[in-house]
Amino acid sequence: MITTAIAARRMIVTHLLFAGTLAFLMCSFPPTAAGADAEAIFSQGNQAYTEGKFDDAIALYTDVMRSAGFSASLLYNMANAYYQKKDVGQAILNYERALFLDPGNPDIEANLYRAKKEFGLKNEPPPHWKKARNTLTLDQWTWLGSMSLAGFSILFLFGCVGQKKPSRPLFRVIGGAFVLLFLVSGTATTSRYMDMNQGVITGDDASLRVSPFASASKTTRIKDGELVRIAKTYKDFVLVKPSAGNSGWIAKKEIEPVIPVQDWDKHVPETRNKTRNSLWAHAKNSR
Amino acid sequence: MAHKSIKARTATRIIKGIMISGVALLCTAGVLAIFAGDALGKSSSGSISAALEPRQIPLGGTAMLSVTLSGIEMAQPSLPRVNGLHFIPAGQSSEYRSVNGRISSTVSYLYQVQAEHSGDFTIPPVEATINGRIKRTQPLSFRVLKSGGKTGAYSRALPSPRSGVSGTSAPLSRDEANQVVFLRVIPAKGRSYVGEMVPVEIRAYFRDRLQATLSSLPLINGDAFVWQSLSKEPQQAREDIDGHANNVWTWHTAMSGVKEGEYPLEVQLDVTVIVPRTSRRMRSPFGRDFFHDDFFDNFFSQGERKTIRVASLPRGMQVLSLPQQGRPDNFSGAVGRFKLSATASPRDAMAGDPITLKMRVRGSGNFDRVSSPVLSSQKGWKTYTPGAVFKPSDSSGARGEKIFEQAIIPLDGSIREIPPVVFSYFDTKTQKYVNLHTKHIPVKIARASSGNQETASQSSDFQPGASSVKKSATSATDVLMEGSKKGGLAPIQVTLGPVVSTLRPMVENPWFVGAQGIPLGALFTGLFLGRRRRRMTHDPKLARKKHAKQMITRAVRQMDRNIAAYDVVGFFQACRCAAQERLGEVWALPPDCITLAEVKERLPENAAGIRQVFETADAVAYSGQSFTQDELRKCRELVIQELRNLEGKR
Repeated sequence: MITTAIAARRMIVTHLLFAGTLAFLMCSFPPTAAGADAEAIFSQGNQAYTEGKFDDAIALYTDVMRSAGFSASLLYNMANAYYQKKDVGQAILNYERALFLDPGNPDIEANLYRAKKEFGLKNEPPPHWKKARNTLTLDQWTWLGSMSLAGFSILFLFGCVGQKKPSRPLFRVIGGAFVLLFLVSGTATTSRYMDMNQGVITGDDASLRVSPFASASKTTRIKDGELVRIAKTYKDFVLVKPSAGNSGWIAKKEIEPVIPVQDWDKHVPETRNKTRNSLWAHAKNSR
Repeated sequence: MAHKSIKARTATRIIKGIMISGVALLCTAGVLAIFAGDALGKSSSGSISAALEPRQIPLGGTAMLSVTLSGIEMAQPSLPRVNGLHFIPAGQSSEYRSVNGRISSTVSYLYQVQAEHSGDFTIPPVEATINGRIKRTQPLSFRVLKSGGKTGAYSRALPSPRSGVSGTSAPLSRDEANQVVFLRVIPAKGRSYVGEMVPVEIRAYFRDRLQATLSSLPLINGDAFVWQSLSKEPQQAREDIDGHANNVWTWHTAMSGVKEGEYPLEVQLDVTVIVPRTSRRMRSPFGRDFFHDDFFDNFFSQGERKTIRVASLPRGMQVLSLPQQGRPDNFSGAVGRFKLSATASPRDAMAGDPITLKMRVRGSGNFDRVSSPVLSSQKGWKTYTPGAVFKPSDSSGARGEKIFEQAIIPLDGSIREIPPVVFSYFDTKTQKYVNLHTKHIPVKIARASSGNQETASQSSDFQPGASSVKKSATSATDVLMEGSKKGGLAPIQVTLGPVVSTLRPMVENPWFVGAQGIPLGALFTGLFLGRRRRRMTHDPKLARKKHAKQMITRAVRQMDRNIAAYDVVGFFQACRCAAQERLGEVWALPPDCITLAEVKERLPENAAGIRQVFETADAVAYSGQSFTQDELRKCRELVIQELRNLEGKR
């Protein structure tokens, strides 16, 4: 009788674990949405592109984006259309977005490289560790990390609850592999997530300012299409750090984040009054 | 009779009243006519007045004579000659009025009065023709003291200069000698080439002790020259010219001729001069009293502000055309004297990587015409339009440094140096065209590793950042041709591929973050269970206790169920089971091994309750003894009590 009760309890635990894992998997998959209409409009955009009607192509691609969402192909084609129009900022922006969804895609990388060269932008090859990191998307790294954590947890739990203990060496090998995978994917996820705070200069003749005010003096001119790191925001201005040179403030309308945001202030921390002193200190240093 | 006489008296009174009224009306009309005539006569005849302040000056000082004319038609007043006095015109001001459609004007003429020697002077009446009639002022008395006397009203003239530089200026011309304010425009040279930047000084001279303020900045006449902006703050100094002290305000600027020929340089300036009013207080018959001191005169008579426009004497400037002979192809109009230097960064790059070429042109000249130096050879390089910044080193903007930054891209990995940059200008000193060259800049260019190297050489000619070019619609045919000719971009994708509704990453999805609680929860559960299992393994007594507790709880529940079902046999079996679990825990024996004999042997005499449980259970099992439900309940309480007693004895 006692043995039966214990067996029943273990079955309940197992069922709970199965249900939890199922729920976890369902939550982990990103929502997708694509329909036949979106495919049709996308094809029309491609047709317009091949006919050289780049404005029409961009409009159609934008319709697809609004109705269905983002895809690497869509963003890549849109970037090509902007490139043909010689719209530097939008071309680079959409290539970067496409690479976010499909890192390592040779077509996207080649065209981005070409665009940067064409427009006289800095074009340094990424270091090896970044190349390795860019083999997967941020979501894929996140998924991998999450799965390795889940795998390790389940293994550990069964090892503790199960009647028959797994052999110690096997447990160590599998458990160690899960832990290693979790550490690697966690590091890659963190690194890629930190890179999300990037933006592309889209304004013509944009300049950095010493402080976040329209009347502030301009320090350096920044090229259309340049990729910058977004540090913080203050009202209608953003503090950006170019890959080379000092940081400075730029109007929000002259920059677009690689990952589109509904609300800038939620995307990056806004400078509050308490940090105004440091803001002015920064402005003075820049001067 | 009486009635007639009354009527006659009434008629006489009426006639008298009418006569009196008529006379009054006539008198009123007469008086009005007299006043009106006087007024009209005055207005039509005009007036003249003269005021002199101060009436007493030290020798070498100046007084201001103001002659004011009012009327419709007026001629300039003629000043009488006075031995020992000089009248120097200092400008005029006008005021116009319209009364009943008749326009009259008031004109004030200002003269500076200077004396050759001390003594008492009388200025005779000043005459002027007003409305066709000659009008005269009253004579004015004037006293000039020997040097060292009190200063007059103009001691509070222009503010004292910030720098006491005593300049050496050209002597006064005849026209300037008659002015209390005059202007001079002084170019650095009288002859220049077209486009040559010539520093110019504009000087405004104010006679010492003159109270005046500037109403405008100097206005430059003529369109033959391009002027740089004036220095914001004029430099102030004091200068003595021909024995006259002057406060001098100097503006610095620069100009360049735009066309060949000789053109006048002329400048105008609006100045507000404060002219003292004549004191109207009565003079004391007993001589100068305390309140007739000059200080109080100056204090109470604040003066009248009059704005005058002064102009410089026209000064000729010859503008020469640049020679055609020897003009370089890349000459952009730079005239002056310049030096050129260039640096590049980075100097270690890959083919196709942009290099910033920084070129500095410094010196003196027309920097607005200084265009970017160019590479002497662009073979193997792609160049972009440079940006320029000018840093002037003087207020006129004729000296300074212009820095050009240009992005250049090496197209070939075999490139080893940046070719010299060239800049041409016309040297005004040697009067020849000069070509400046920099040295070669050595660079290390590595070959590009990818197949995209050719893209730099195939790039189109549009300039990054040039909005006009960027936004212009590019011909689609051109683009496609460019693509087909030059390899173009990688082709577009034909399928939409997997679509996501947002680019926001999964890690920001709150459901995903919440779901991570499941594996974490499992991890902690495993930790808890593993620890518990270890404790049980290492402490058998504790394990026995926990196990016994669980089994006793179950047995008690079974007892309750058997009471409810009135199952006497089952009830006593559950009672025995519970007792076995408790005793097994206490005696460290398996519960199944505990029998009635074991109980009788081990339990003391006072544990009769437990013994009875075992005996009754056997009896019920084998003899079929019956109990009521109440008896079973009492028995249950007894068993639980005995179990507690045993627990306390452990």
